[in-house]
Amino acid sequence: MRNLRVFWPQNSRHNGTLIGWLHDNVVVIATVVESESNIDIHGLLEGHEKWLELKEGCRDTPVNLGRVHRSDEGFLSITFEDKALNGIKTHFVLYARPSLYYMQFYSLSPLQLDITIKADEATSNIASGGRLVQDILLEPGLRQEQCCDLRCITRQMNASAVVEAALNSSKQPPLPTSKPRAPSQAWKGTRQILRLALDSLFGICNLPLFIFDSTTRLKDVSATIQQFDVRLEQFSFFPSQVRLISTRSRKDIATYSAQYINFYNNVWLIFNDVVIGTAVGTALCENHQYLGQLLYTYTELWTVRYVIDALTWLDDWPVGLKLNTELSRALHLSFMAMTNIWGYALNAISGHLPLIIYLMGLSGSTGLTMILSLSSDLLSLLTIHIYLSYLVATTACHRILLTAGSLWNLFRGKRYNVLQNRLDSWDYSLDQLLLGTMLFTLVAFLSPTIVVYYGLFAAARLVTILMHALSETILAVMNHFPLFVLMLRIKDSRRLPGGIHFRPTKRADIQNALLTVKSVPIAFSRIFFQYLLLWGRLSSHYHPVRLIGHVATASFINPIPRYSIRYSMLPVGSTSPKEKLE
Amino acid sequence: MTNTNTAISRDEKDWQRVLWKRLPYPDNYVPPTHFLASLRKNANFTPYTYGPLVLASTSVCQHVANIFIFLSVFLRLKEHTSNPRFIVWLAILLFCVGYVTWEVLLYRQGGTWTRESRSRVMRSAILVFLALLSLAPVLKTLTEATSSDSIWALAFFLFTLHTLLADYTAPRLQESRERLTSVLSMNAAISAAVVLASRLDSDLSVFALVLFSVQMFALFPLLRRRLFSTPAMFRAFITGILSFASISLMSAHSSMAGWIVLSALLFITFVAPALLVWAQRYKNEIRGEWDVAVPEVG
Repeated sequence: MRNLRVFWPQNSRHNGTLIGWLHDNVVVIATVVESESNIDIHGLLEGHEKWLELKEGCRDTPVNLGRVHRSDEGFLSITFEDKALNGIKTHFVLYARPSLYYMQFYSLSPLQLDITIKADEATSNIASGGRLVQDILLEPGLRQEQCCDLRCITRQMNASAVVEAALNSSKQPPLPTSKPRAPSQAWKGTRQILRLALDSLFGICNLPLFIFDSTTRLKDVSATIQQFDVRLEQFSFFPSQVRLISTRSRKDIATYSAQYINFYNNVWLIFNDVVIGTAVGTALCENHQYLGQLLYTYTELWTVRYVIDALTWLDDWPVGLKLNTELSRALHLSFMAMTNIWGYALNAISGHLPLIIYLMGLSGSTGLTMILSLSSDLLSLLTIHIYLSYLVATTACHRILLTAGSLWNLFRGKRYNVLQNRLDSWDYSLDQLLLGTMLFTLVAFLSPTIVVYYGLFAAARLVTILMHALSETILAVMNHFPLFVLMLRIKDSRRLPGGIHFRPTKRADIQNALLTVKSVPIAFSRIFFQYLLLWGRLSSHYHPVRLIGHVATASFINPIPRYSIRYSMLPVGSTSPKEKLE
Repeated sequence: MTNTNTAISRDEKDWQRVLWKRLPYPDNYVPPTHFLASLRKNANFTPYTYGPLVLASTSVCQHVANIFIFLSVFLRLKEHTSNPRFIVWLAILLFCVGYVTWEVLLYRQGGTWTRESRSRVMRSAILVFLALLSLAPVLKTLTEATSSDSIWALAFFLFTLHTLLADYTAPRLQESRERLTSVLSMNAAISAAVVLASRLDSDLSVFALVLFSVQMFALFPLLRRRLFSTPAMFRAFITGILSFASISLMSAHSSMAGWIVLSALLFITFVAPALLVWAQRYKNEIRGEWDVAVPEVG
């Protein structure tokens, strides 16, 4: 041990008794006490409730280490209780005491804002980071067992403010421990009713729709129900979150801080949502007549008139393509019938469109997200005839393409072997060959017609899907934007620790100060971790190459399933919402 | 090197191509007289003679004649010079005649047909008949929008494919499957027939033409392979009938067409074998010990 590193708190006095912890070649000073006499450290600290929570992480209680004296030039000199340490060259490493009340703390690993990951998974990455930093503090040639435990040192640094507060205050009466209140009967009753209401609402949202398949629920079909479900989930977790945060535990400061940040982020987002929603809602309510009229004209123009024009153009040898006349006429008449029926329906509800817009404006007081999801549902309702026509056209085109493929194989005398996933030569019988060849000629001449009609509806469907994607992106932004975290980052980055840096310093009052400990705030990629995930999912689903591939093979294009965009912000290990109310 | 040369000239007679003896010359040494001694030129070469070649080319001739008969029937139906019902009855008659011939040949060759296969044949025949009957209206309007020139070009291409890929060989002794290329040729011919038939006016004529083409292009080649076992005179006789029918039918439309068909058939039957026989002198096939060995079985 040739060098001693002393972690010295900034803004502490320079003369007095040192209280701190001793490691092998590192000394962490918690505070400098002025009194000459031996104070009862143990007694004062054990009576302090907040210290008891931190004691386990700091390995043991701080002890009286010796005395410090500042010379006139500014050099601090320490005389240790343990005589063996005197005379060794000391280097001072300054650190600022973090205030645990404000949830500032040092941490070796970045703060895990994602509260859905279990704590023990997160802390497993610490060891490798700590080892690197230790090399700075070590002399070369020392064996690994003599390394200082940087994790312990950071915990001791975090606890230093509590130690100082405990020692500087005189003996105070122990704080009254809060007893859990016995819940009153009225509260129990209201809780039952609330639980029933929430249960039923959740049941409605998650209603499985058996007409599609057993995994499709009501909330997958409608954006409004999905938004409703998100809000319900958030509200049902509020009581437990509030209780957790009000305990103010210091023991696992990282997890507590993350939950605190997430809770207040959600609260702030909801308030923002409501404020903006009310503003937009009042704008909608005031202009509902005009907007209703506008909506009707544009919808009628785009979804009815243009579609009819396009269908008429297709029937009449479009672009010089010679389509089969009978088939083209049949398709044209059937799609035209569907569009005309929708035109009549649109005409019938045109009187109610201003009312719908007024209702949307009213719902804005519950948040802008509600307005957005209602408008997304309105869009899908207004283009429902395009959706149905697309469904029909896709099925027909897909079947025709499959048939053409398999008949082409028959034409060449081959068959697709499903067991081996390859084409084998196959001995067809004569009638199969004859009929197959004739059908192949038939399909070869009829498929261009069907493909052309499919192309029209596929293009229309792509446009609506992209509009849906836009509204879903905005919804995702509004539901999960980390406003609170960004504000913390700007205002007080010590609450978002991402590691420690040691900077060389020169200070006038402490001449033998060598390094300063600085906390590094977490990177922006961690703040926006949800967004990176969401962006990955959105871009992979709406990737242009994938969409074009789907159009080319006439597969069904569906909007992204809503459950994959909605990122659940609930802590892991949480039980079902019903039990959370207790 | 010199002492090996003298060693070589002495041991020429004692040269052995063995490696398990220590011999005075290197391992890959071959004396000049033995070099390429095992080279055989045109070893299994039996040159074609004119007669059998002409006989074998009659099958090609039958095929081409078939195509022209079909084309002439198509022209007649298009110009309404024949009654479609007559063509339908003709096709059915051809089916019966062909079936009887098939049975006779089978009996002569000693093979019998079980009742099951007979009923299968009947069943598929009736199935094809009914399916054609129902598909005829759809086929009629299939290529309405396409111009006639594209249709003629498409039909020409498909018939060429059919002629090139058809299986003109004699069947082997045991019953073997049809080769892949013959399936493709039959499919090409049926497609050409369908495409041409879609140019006609009435449903019945479409049905008649397609039925006739099924007889001509699907069933007749099967029969023709069976005919290989009959004596040569019979085959020549059948070929003569078919050629005569095609020439006379085509010349009824235009004499130019008749002359073209006649010259084509003559070329295929008589001139092409002569060319092939003349070209045999240039045959130069080299075989040797280094080739894959041909096992002699039996």
